[in-house]
Amino acid sequence: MPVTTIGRSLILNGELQGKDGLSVQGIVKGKIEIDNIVTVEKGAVIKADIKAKDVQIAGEVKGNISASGYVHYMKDCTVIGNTTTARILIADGASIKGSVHIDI
Amino acid sequence: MSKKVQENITIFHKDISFTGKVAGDEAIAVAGHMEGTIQTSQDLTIEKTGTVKADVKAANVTVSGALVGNVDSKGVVSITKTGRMVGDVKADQIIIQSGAQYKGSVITKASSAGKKSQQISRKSASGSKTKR
Amino acid sequence: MADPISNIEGDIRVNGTLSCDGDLIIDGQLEGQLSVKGKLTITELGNVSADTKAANLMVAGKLNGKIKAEKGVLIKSSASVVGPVETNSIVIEEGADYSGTINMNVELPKGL
Repeated sequence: MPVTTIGRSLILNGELQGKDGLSVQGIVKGKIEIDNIVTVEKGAVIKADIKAKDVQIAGEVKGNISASGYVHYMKDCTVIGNTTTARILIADGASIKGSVHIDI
Repeated sequence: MSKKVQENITIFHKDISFTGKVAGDEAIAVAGHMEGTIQTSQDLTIEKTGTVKADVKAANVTVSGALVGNVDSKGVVSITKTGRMVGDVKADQIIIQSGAQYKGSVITKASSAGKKSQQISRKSASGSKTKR
Repeated sequence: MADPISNIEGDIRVNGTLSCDGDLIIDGQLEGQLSVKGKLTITELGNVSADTKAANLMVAGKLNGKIKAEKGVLIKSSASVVGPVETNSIVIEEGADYSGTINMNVELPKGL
């Protein structure tokens, strides 16, 4: 399964959609709707609502997260927004400002 | 085979689509669908499966897929045999391969033209056919 | 019998249209209007300022004018071409100089 990695120097302003995995190292503003895994790497900044299967966050997300699978808040991540998902994992050092709703 | 210095490249794979503005300082390859504008200081490649409706600004641009939009290139624009493009091109040079389809206006830098036209006019003036 | 190939080596100024039923090779200088039923070749030494109509066109020298070559246009690396081109197939080699508007049929995929 190919993963599209948005490189560190890129700034995207708009809507990202698709069925492939997505990994963000740069900046994405707008909307992300991926029927697969979305990884927000350390140093990445996302100012968008994320709708995906699974979401892994090590960087910064300002937006609401909706994941049918799981959300993994990794060490040093910053999330400002509400999360709705089936399963979560919060690592020590993660920062979440918003509600987390686990929907089984 | 010479090893090229590994430069950063972001590949938008076939099943990813993006609508909006892309801006950055690394090479970009588009194998999926994109609409909007694409701007990079490095090279841009539209892969065979890529369908792009955007004005693009980049160093070298290679079109192997479909592009509707204008190209502003600081280098060479190549439309390969699977390339289909409608739009204007502003570049140092344009290369169109056999099989390519292109419709638009082309403005290329006349820097090399000066050298070539000098050679040709010199030969015509002398009237002799000297095969190099 | 094969179509005869005509050859222009000198310096020609045509007030009107130079028309050719077969193929034509231009090795010299020409100014005017050109209509070639077959293949038109402008060699590296050729220097043409003319509205040009041909079935096939191959330019290795200089061409300035309106170009119409239905079957195909080949602009060689040594060429310098300025002018609008109307054709069904075009090849521009690396190193060639071209400025103008290219008009040919482009089949675009759905969604564009």
